[in-house]
This record gives sequence, C-alpha cells and structure tokens, in this order.
Amino acid sequence: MGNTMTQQAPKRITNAQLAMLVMIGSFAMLFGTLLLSYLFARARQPAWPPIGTEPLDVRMSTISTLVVILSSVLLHFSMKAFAEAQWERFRNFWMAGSFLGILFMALQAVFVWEMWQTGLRVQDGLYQSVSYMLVIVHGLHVLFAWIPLAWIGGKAQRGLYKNPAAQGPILATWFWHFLGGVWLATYLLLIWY
Amino acid sequence: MSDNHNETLDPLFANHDDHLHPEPTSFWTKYVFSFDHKVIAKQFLIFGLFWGFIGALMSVMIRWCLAQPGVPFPIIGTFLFPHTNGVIPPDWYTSLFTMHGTIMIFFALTPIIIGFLGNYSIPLMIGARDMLFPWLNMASFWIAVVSGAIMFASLFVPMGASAVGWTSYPTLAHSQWSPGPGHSYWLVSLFFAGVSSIMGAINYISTIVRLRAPGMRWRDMPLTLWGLFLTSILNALFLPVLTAAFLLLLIDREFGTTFFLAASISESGTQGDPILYQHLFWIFGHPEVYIVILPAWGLVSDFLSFFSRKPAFGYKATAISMTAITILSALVYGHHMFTTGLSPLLTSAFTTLTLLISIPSGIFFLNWLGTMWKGSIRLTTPMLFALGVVFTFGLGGLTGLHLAAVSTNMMLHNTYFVVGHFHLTMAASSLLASYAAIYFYFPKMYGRMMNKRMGQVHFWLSFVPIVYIFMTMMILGYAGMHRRIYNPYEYNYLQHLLGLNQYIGIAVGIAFFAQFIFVYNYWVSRKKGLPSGPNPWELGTLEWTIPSPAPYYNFKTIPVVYNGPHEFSHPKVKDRDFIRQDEYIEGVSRGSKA
Repeated sequence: MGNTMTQQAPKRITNAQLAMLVMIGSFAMLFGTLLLSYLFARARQPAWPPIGTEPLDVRMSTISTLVVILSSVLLHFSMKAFAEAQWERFRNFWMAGSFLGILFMALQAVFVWEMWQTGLRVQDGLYQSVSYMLVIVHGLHVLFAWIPLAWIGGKAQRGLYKNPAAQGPILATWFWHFLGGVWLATYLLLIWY
Repeated sequence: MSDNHNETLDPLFANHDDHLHPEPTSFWTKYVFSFDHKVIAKQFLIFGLFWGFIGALMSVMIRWCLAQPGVPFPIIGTFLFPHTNGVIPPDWYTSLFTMHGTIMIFFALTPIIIGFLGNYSIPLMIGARDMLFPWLNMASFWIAVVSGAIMFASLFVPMGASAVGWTSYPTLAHSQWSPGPGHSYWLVSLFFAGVSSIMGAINYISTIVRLRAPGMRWRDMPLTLWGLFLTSILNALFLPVLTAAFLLLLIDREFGTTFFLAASISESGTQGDPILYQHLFWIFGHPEVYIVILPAWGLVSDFLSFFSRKPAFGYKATAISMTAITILSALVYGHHMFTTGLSPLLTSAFTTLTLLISIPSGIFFLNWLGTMWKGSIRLTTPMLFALGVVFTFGLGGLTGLHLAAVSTNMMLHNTYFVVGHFHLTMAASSLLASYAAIYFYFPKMYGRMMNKRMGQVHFWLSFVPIVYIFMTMMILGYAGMHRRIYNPYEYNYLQHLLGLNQYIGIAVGIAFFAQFIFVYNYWVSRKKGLPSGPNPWELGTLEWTIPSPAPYYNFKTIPVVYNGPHEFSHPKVKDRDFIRQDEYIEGVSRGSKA
C-alpha cells in the first residue's frame, strides 16, 4: 500500500497561475455572454448591417487587430527571456509589447470616433448598440489590463526583476493574451461575419 | 511535493508553513482591515445579519400589506409614510418586494452561507493557516461593503429604490418606465457584489485545490468543503453572465442603447429583445439558487453524520450528485421562462433536464436519511437546524417538480406557489443551514457555547412558522393568488384568501421576533457562554484539533491526514466513538505514519 504522501510529481502551474486561470474563466464567460448575445440577437434580424447603415471600418479594425496580436507576440518573447533570466531582453520586449498595447487602445479610440463621425448612434438600433458596446467594453478591460503591464515595465526599467520564478509578469501576460483572443473573436464576428 | 516535510514545499505550488502572516497588533489590523480569514468571516457574518434584518423587516412590511390592507404599519409606519398616514403605498410595495429579494439573496444569504461559512471553515477544515490569497480575501469583503453602501444609498435617492422585482426585467427596468437613479444604483451595487463573490470564488477554489494538508485526498474532505468548492465554481462562471446582463441593461438605461428594447415600442424601430435579458438573467439565476444551497447541502451532509455518530451514508454518491447538479444547473434555466413563448422543443427539453436534476438531489436526500438511520442521534442545536433543512428542503424540492413540468408550470408561474417553493428550498433551507453553521462554529470562534435552551426555542419558533408560512403560500398559489400584487382583494376570486394571508402574517411576526432570541444568545454567549474546550462536539475534522477560540495561526504544525472526516464508531477504537483526521492508529488508518 505504501505511504500516500510520498513522491508526487511537481505541479505544472503555480498557485497564482491557477487563480489566474479561474479568473480568465470568469472573464471568458463575461465576453462569451456578450458575444453570444450579439449573435443570437443578430440572428433575429432580417438584414445585418441594417439597410442604410454604414458598415464598420474594416481597415482600421484590421490594423488594430494586428497591433494587439503583435503586442502579445512581443510579450510572449519577453516571457521567454524572463524564464531564462535574460533581463535586458525581457525588458526590451516588454516595453515594446506594452507600447503596442497603448497603440492598440489609441487605434480603438479612433475606431470609435470614426463610428461617431459616420453618424452611428446607439439609440438608432441594435447594430449600433452592439458595435459601440463590444469595442468599448473590451477596450476598457484592455485599459485595466495595461496598468499591470506598465507597473511591471517600470519595475523592469529599474532592474528590479532578478528571479525567474516571480509571478507578476506571467500573470499579466496571460490576461493580456486572453483579451487579445477576445478581440480577435470580436473582430471576426463583428467585422467579417 | 515530495513528502510531508513542509520545509521542502515550494511556496509557489503549495505554501504551507511559509504562509504565516505576522500577528496583527493594532485595532485596525486586528478587527477592521484584517487578513485573517477568521476575522473576515466574522465581518461577513455581521454584514449578512445586518442586511438580513433589513430584508426581514421588508418582508414583514410586505406581509402586513397583505394581511392588513389599508391599515397603517405599526411603530415606524407614520415616520416612513407620512403622506398616507402610515399605510404602505403601492409604489413602496413594489420596492419592498424588489429589495427584499435582492437583499436576502445578495446581502444576507451569500455573505453568510458563503462569506462566513466558507471563510471560516475552509482553511480550518483543510488544515491550512489561511486562505491562499489573504489580501484578495480582505478585498472581497470590502468590495462587498462598497456594494452594500451603494444599495443602502439607493433607498434614499429621488423616486426611491429599485421597484422592478429582483429579476429586474426590461422593459419595465428601462429608464422610461423606471425613471430615477434607483435602479441604476441597484445595477451598479450588484456589479460590485458580483466582483466580490468572484474574488471569493477564485480564493476558495485555489485554496481547496492547493492548500489541503498532506494526506487529505478529495475524498477525505468534509462534504461542507465539497459544497463550498462546487458553489465557488458556479459563482466564478455564472456571475459574469449576470454582470453582462446588467451591463447591457445599465447602458440601455443610461446611454440609450437598444439591447432589450423591442422594435414596437422604440422610437426608431429598433430590434432589441426583452426576452434576451430573461435568457441572460436566468442563465445566471438558476445556478445562483444552487450557489446558495450547495454549501447548505454539504453542511447538512456533514452535520447529520457528526450528530448521528455515523459515517456519512454514500459519501461518494453525495459528492458525485452535488457535482452532477453543479453541471446540470447550467442547463435547466429555461424553466423560469416557460410562459415567454419558447418553442415546445425547448420547453420540453428544459422540463426533461429539470426533472433530471431532481434525481441527484433525491440521491443525497436519501443518503441523509441513510446517515441518520440507526445512528446515535445527538439533538444539539446545530443538529436541530440541520434536521430542519432536511424537512424544508424535502418539502420544497418536491414542489419543484410541479414547476418543472411545463404543463403545470403554465398555471403556477408567477403565483404564490413559486414563492412558497423557492422560499422553502432556498431561503428556509439556506437560512436554517446558516444558523446551524453559526451555532456549530460559535465555540471555535469564541471558546464558548451558545445557550442550548435558547437555541432550541429559537429553532422551533423559526422552523414551525417558516414551514407554515411557505406551505400556506403554496396553497394560496394553487388558489390563483399571483405574486408581487399589492391588493389581491380587489379581485373577487381572491377575496376569500384574506384569512390565510392573515395567518401567514401572524406566523411572520412570530418568526421575525424569534430571531432576536438568536441575536441575544449570540451577543451574551460571547462572554458568558459555557466554556467549550477545543472539541465540544467530539468530532474528528481538523478544526476541532486546535484550541477554541482558534489562535490566529490556526495550526502550530500543519497536520498530516490519515483518516476520513466521518470516522465514527470504529470497532477497533474502544475509548471513544470518533477518530481525528490527523490521528494515526495502527490497523485503522491508511498508509503508515509519516
């Protein structure tokens, strides 16, 4: 029978990572609900976009999508450097990824501004309401997720990271990747579908 | 981890001995901004009892309207409603039933059965020094306080508090038909309540997964922990759905979006759908009722074992049933919407699934009976309340079948039958379980026992009226009395129900005042109760292996678990009828001593 307490394999994710996974699960349900609501509501409409409505700007949204994907890629490389204790490489990729995060938010703001300029108003219908809501709600979450990126960037600049086991950067990047995935899904469903 | 020697544990993955936060010294760090799960638990308890009082007072006012129509509400009536000479006006009535439901679910039951019970019992039962994330724990409480403050403020805003039912259906909940900021405050408050609960859920899940003492397998956990774990999964996954629904409703109200505005009533001919809201709400709403009852089920399963001095009958089946219900709870929500014109394919699917979900409930109910059968029953106060839960949940659960079947639901929807059903299953059962938990853990919290005679009186003066109230409501529902109605007596066919409503009123009065016996008992017993010693209930779970009151660090050394939680009346143990979980007994415990 033996002792049940001996020799368990080390777990692959840390406590903090487990908690972050649960948190991502929660946010996935939030965005999933918003996106599914959009799809179900849209399925009941005779035409989409409604006749006489300007479609959303494909070019601007495609650029911002590429920017956020690139920021995730850069942060991924940053974390690889972090895991190998290559602090300067970590810092450089991190700053680049964070900067692209700001660029994404700026592009999204322009995207929303363009919606406003073309006369789209939420009161006019579901299409308009959905467009503003999905972009702005996602953007606000990106803003909140960017704050830890900035904080960690500041610490990285001051050379405060010395231990590859530190959890902050990996948690922040996981959430950032998740939001990038949410935007990709939103982009495909809102612009292309 | 390689073995049970704690110093080799990597704090990133397990975190036992390293997880000792320093002892707080100042008043603020000891009692206000405390990281200690035991203090946070008490804070949630006080928060929940305070709001429970307000919610109960509102229910008294509701029942007063129905029992004594046109009669001024006593004592505070003329102060609250001077323009009607103390008679509760109809617009207040709608606020009352809205706020009663909201407050009881989000600010009374959730803080007590999850905030208090979870926070207090989880680290102690798993043999940990605290939750995995103490800071997150404290933040969860204070965000709940913010939520409560916003809800409290909503009672005083122009045009009054929310008055659209706790379900907050559009289009009534839109700003055109519910003007004033009351309902928007309500939505924002519950947003924060959701954030608080999700933070708590993340903490509970992570703690139970990672901080169990060495040797504590999933099947060695008390069933209370199973209940809390499963509830936390539902909280983490389904509160965000409510958040989404509320977000869309809030921006409909404040920014004029049209998610829930039907084309026929909007100025510009939009294509929103109010039924979409109902889908979103109930996708959360049904798991929510299981969120509130799962800890109660786990608790009762444990208490019946503890106070029958018998192992829990069918432990595994109970755990599996609770898990099955957790999964199925996501699939039955449509039974709240049978009258909305769903297609018969959907309604028959939801009927089938709802009837299906009653099967695991039945399984663990029978396990409860099997646990007690031929047990050596100790009628302690927690046991009395646990037995009360068995009764109320059995009764209420059976009436759920009437509502599960779409054909009978058509007649019973929105009648008092529904009110009786959910109060018995959710309110009465969770409330009685909450009291059971408080009486049970009081010795561990204060090192003293609550007065037993007062506890018995409190139980009977609560239990009998509660059963009477909600059984009578089911009769009223069958007779056709609809819910959320200010004056049923303007309808000829409901006039004869005044008598029943008056008897309910008397029972409500008895039950309401009986709670003061509990409050007095709690308050006085803190300092004057009989000293309890470390293990007054003579149990083997880990929290009873440490002194009472529990020291701030909980366990001096992290225990190693060798036995299950319900090891009673073992034939090889002669000197007592229970075995502690961390006690190694040759030939009885599994494995070898570490």
